[in-house]
Amino acid sequence: MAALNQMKMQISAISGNESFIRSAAAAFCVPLNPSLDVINDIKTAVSEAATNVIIHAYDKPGENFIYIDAELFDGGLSIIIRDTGKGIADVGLAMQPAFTSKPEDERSGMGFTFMQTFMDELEVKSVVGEGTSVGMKKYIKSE
Amino acid sequence: MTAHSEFSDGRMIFYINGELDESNIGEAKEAFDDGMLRGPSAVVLDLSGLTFMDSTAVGMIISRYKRLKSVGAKLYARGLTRQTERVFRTSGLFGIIEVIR
Ligand SMILES: Nc1ncnc2c1ncn2[C@@H]1O[C@H](COP(=O)(O)OP(=O)(O)O)[C@@H](O)[C@H]1O
Ligand SMILES: [Mg+2]
Repeated sequence: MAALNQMKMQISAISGNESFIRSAAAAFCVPLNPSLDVINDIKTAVSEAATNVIIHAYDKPGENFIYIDAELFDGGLSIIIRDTGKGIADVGLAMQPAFTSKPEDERSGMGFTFMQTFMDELEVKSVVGEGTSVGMKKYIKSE
Repeated sequence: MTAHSEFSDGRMIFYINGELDESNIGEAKEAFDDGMLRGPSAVVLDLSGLTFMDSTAVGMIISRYKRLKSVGAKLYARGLTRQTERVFRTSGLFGIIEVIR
């Protein structure tokens, strides 16, 4: 599928950027005329992936980034949210509903469940010590 | 995001307005827990001004639900929008929180 539009973003993995990232992803889709529900689904899923990078990926403060690659194709959005952090040892376990490695922070462990439910495709790849990549697709029917 | 509580007849109405996420969840928790010091008999989450929430907010709500339950106080919600309704449904919050008008 030929890309209609492409976007690459590199932004500091610090809290405070969640809102900018989800809004940018949603705005990027506007040419496809998505419904408000679809916009909300994209915002929520992207917020989950970005938040995970911010709170889970990097243990050491420093020059830590979230890398976003988005593509608009005829019929939807494809977006990859990536980090070069510590990685996930057991992706299957991490993706289980209510699993969190930070229960002391009152986390719900529902992030991956939201990504799965709100998007049409989800692919998580991770290598311990190298980082994590979360690829998602959302089909968009013009309203 | 802004959050504040109002009290009537021992009930705490907790208002959250704007977008709630990881960047401001700490403030929301603090505002909620300040209200809890008054020992409300029930808590109503008024979400009519909440334009965005994600699973970070779900974690906050579940932990406070557990605390309320342990002291025999009920948790309600009202004013859900389409986005917050979908988040509630996906995370199973409707199983522990009664929606009122
Ligand atoms: N980018 C990431 N880097 C490292 N670990 C991650 C990343 N994303 C998710 N995880 C791991 O997967 C778990 C589940 O993620 P999620 O479903 O979003 O729940 P939560 O963020 O509430 O813990 C996290 O607790 C964490 O251990
Ligand atoms: Mg998460």
